[in-house]
Amino acid sequence: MTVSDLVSRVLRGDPPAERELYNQNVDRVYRLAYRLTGEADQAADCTQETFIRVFSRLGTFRGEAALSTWITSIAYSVIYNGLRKSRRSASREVELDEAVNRPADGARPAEPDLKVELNRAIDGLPDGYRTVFLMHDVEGYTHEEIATSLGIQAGTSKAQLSRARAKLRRLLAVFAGEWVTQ
Amino acid sequence: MTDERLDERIREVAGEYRDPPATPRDEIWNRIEAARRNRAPARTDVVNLANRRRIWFRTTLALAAVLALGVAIGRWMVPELRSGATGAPAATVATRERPAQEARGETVVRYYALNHLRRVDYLLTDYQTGHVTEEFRASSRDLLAETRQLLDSPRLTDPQIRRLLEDLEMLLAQIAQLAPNGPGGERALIDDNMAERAIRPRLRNAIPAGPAA
Repeated sequence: MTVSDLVSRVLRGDPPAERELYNQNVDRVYRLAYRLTGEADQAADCTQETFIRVFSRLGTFRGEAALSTWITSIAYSVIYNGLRKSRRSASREVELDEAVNRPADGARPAEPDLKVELNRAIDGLPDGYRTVFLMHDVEGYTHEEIATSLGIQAGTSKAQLSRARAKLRRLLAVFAGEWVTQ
Repeated sequence: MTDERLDERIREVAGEYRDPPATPRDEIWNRIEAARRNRAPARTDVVNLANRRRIWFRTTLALAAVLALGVAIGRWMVPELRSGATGAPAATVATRERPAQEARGETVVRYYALNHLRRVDYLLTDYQTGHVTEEFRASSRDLLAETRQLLDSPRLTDPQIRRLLEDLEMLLAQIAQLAPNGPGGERALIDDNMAERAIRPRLRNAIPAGPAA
């Protein structure tokens, strides 16, 4: 069944088609919500709200973008607003350079776990950088998909990814030697 | 290690960053179905209520906005004179300073938000009457960025303006992606969104009458 057929069936009020559309897209939405919020409950809430909006607005979907991208744009809006409301993002307003306990003399940090350090470094990225980094490098979205979903230009997405990577490299440079040997 | 190799290694490890568990598909689906059942009648009620009270609400809101601006300007100009004139002890002034600063901050953000809404309204007028140019799309992106900044501000406390900005965020994102010579369907999508969310009437309700600041 094509996407167009599926959408038509959903618009006609076909419950199995609704479930099919949900099944095809729910993992993508939930994964993005979980990556951005870090909490299962909040990710489930965002996923629920996203699909409620998808079903209520599906009549406005014209097919210019892929359905999955259209759904992601709704999901991002829901997730971003959820983060604002919960103010959990405030805990991430840590200066990036403070996110990693990098000693002044350039010696290895006290924390030996590279994953922990990387998690801290990602947490410390500005919201826009972190979102693009997670969507592109972790979840595999294209820059065009990210641009449509976030309402930015593809060039902006590429620039933010480049800056995010540069910051992560700078923060994790002290581990580079160790990673080579692993 | 080269930058490319380090990036690759970071990507490998980053895959475990907030690694999502299996999606609780059935649980979420059940919640969606329940929510849709519950929301349908409520939504109708809201629309009807809005229709019945629209004229009264619009008038009240416009008056409230004008009053708020008047009070804001008064508070903005008077505090320094008032605190100097009373000669209050330093400790007393200190305890009052913070709430006064917060109130002033909220007033400033609200004032900025209303000006922002006015500019969005201008943009939507251009959208409905003109052609989509690159300059127009750039303006849309700027306004989208400002919308997000306002929503990020904890000092934007007006729930009505906040809801309006949340809807505008999605609308501006759609407009910013509008191709100059794109298919008419894109515009239809935006038009539907505007109509469904009653964007223009809500903008006109929120923006106080009078010349732009």
